[in-house]
Amino acid sequence: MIDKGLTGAPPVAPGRRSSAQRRARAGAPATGARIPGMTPASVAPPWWWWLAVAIATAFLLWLTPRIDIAQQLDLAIIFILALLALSMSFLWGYVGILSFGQTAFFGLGGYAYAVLALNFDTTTWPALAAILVAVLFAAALGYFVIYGRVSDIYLSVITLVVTLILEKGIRSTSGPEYVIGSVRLNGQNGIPSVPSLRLPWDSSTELFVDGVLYLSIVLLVLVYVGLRLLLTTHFGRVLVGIRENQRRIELLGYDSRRYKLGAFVLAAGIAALSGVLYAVWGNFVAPEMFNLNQAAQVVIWVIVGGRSTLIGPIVGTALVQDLTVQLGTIGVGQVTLILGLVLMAFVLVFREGLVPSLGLLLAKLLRRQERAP
Amino acid sequence: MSADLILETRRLEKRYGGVRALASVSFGLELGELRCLIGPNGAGKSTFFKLLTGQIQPTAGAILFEGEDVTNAAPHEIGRLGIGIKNQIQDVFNGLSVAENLYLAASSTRGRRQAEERARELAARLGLERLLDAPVGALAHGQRQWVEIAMVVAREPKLVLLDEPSAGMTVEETRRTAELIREVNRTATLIVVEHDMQFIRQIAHKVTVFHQGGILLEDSFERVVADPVVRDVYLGRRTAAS
Repeated sequence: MIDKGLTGAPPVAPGRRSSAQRRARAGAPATGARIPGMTPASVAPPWWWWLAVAIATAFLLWLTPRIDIAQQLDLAIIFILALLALSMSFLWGYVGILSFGQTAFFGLGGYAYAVLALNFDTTTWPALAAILVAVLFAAALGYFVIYGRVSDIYLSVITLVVTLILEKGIRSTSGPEYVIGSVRLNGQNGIPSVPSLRLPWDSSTELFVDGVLYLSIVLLVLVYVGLRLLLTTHFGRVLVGIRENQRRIELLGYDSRRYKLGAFVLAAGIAALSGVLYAVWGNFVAPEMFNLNQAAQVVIWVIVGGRSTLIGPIVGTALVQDLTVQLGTIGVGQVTLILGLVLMAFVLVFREGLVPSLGLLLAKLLRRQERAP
Repeated sequence: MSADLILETRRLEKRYGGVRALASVSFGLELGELRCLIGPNGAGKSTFFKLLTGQIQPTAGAILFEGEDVTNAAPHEIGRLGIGIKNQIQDVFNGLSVAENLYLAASSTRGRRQAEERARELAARLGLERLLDAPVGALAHGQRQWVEIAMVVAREPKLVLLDEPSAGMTVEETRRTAELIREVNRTATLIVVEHDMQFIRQIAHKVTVFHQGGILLEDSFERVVADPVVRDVYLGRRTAAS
């Protein structure tokens, strides 16, 4: 089915290999089917894409004041976590690096914001500094892993281990001796009463629930559009080249490590942004931000939504989060078990994820219609 | 060392455990040459190419490019110095379009606009302009080989290494590839690894014969094919097999 998508348009010689064989031969990761008619990532998005983004954004901003506070909270957390999913999906789908522990940067962002904001009783620069903390940490970690020529599989393992170490580390800070400035880290219990964001130009106005929702909508759209445009730049195109064939990229004279490190650090920054918003959303940070459950959930969002598009992980996050909430509400005890089944269904049946699978289906239907007299 | 040697190796050696893939190869290549490497499978030709481009590190010996020691340089550094290679196995960006493949190749030495220009120009020269938007993985074998050669040439390297450029091509495609190689040779020095004697006859000035990890002989095409030892280790076996 994927093969049809790949070879739909151009004339092809007889005896061509299936896409799976071709990939196996090239040693390239099986990342993403190509949907016929879909603009390749390297080409600037068409006008209807901009229109769709504008309409979706306007709709969400219009919707915000018209829903109740519980719905605002639900919607805001979806958009905040979608940023985290996007950070992983960008690396995985477009650079070919699975950073299993994106939660390390998510949690660091949240904790750094909590500690800085509580210490200095201000919020704007602590939010930015928190992202910087995670970015610097990612730069150091990424430097050793990527420049040390650790293989991509071990990068997955290492990032996962790092997030688990951070979790254990934070959990062991229950004692009163673990204080940063005036803030106790509190171990298992997390840090309560994390300050809400205040307007940079008016520090007496706090962002309430609707404010956080507005902010997360705007930031998600900015990051989404930003990443989409990044893929059309020289930097982005080389990243995709690395995914396709790292050896070839190097033989062409590119230092792939520089590009990979850049992408890794960028993704960490996005994950940290998500972590800061998460801290602001619930006025709370806890070691669970780093744990295995959280790390694995991000993978589920990305797999369900599909990593060969940037909209996929956003859709995946929304669906899985919604499903989790619904299952919780109707009192199904085994939410994790059901999520596991959903994941298996996607891995086995809709390998490309929901959004690309729908795209392929749509393309198939359109072609059938063209063929009909 | 003569001044116009573009590439020189000194007692270059690669061992894998006890196996010598390449044994003390001292090789010199003059600027502007079109050299063919022949030799039976396992003679060390591809190993030699991989050493030259930093894909593997030598056990001993030195590599000099334009008089500069590049023995332990990384592949991207070699690429930047102006050595381009087409590996024996197909080595392209299968999931990306022809245009994108050529762009990525050309843009490592050019600005964006010029690189896209260069990509179109190369595609036109190879008769691939209709396929610019097709994913390379969907092309016919010969066309993919051309895309890869074009990618190597796109950066205008000083030295071009081609490992079996005509493998799996039809007679007509092989003829066009030979033409292409001669054209490239107008501006660049080349080393071509080949098995196809007809093809070598079309392009070669000078032929180096590899055998068991070392250089057996280096001479003109006519003398090499007439050499009894070469016939024995390489050609003889071939004609006997066919």
